[in-house]
Amino acid sequence: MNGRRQLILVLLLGLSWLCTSSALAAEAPWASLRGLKGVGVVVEELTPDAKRGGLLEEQLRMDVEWRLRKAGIIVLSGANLRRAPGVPYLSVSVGALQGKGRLAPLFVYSAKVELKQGVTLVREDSLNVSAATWVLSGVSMIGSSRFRKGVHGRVASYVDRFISDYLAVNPR
Amino acid sequence: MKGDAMRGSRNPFWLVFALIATMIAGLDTPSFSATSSERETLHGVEALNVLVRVKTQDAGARSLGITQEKLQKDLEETLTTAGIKVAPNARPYLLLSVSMISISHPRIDGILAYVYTAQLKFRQGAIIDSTGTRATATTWDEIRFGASSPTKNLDSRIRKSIKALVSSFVNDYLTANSAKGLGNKD
Repeated sequence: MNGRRQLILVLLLGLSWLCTSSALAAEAPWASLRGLKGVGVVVEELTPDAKRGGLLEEQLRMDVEWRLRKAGIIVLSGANLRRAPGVPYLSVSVGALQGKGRLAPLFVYSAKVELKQGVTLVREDSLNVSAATWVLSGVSMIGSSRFRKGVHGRVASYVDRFISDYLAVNPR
Repeated sequence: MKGDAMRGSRNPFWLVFALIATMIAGLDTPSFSATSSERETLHGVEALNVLVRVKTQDAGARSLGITQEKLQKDLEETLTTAGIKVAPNARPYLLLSVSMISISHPRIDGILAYVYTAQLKFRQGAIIDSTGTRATATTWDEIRFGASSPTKNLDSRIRKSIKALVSSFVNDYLTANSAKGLGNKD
């Protein structure tokens, strides 16, 4: 259905606007990446609709790790991650909603990639927590047949942005 | 009229329109929620600043009347009523970001739907353990997104999402500051 394709295209183009870059630490988010010797990767549990759409946590994790390694960033895991100062890791979260019945052709989803690491709060130095110092997130709509690929692509674009920021302050 | 001409049963656009409008009539869900460790970071916050960002791509979304000024006023009132001190010069801040977009099609009159996202973040100064450098970290974060046809009270849906986010934050704040107490709270 040509009209349908056109409409999906319009939706995709329009909705890409909603994808907000919220690289936090707004002053210089990349500065919080300086000195990192690698990062772990954690894919948070997917929502039921995201799983029904064909997403797998393991697959997303492997994709993210592959991109990091390809860029020369060390991927920490297990004991190496636990021993790393601040236990820095990239957290990937995806939430999705799919239409029901005849309405199944579309998904609305949100994706978030954030770098979490140990921080001590300035105003209360007894509080040591893992917090996000770099974040990208956005919401989008996509046809169900392209959902899996679309989410992987979205996450990949966020990870690429992370890689770019990481390498800017930690040149190889 | 263009729209009437397209209402013919053979025209696929109205089928697509109906599918989307029906599908998104009730989509509204939280996707990410604050965790208990995030809640903990609200302990001892004596006052916070409030920032609101509203992003609308077009006049259709702007016409909903969801403005930065109105949201800021509502948010500050809700926090104050809950006993949370709002101070423009406070360093920790709560950031409410609302984005809306209207979906249309070049061959169909009117707006097909709106998609929106509402996100609330609490950010505060932190020292990165590994390097000792100072950064602004997001220590509490929750997002809701949804979609609605133009006729399904979009305005109230968005406000409902925002209200849920703010309630969640207020509850976490009060929980974090009830057990141990705020001792030096103003």
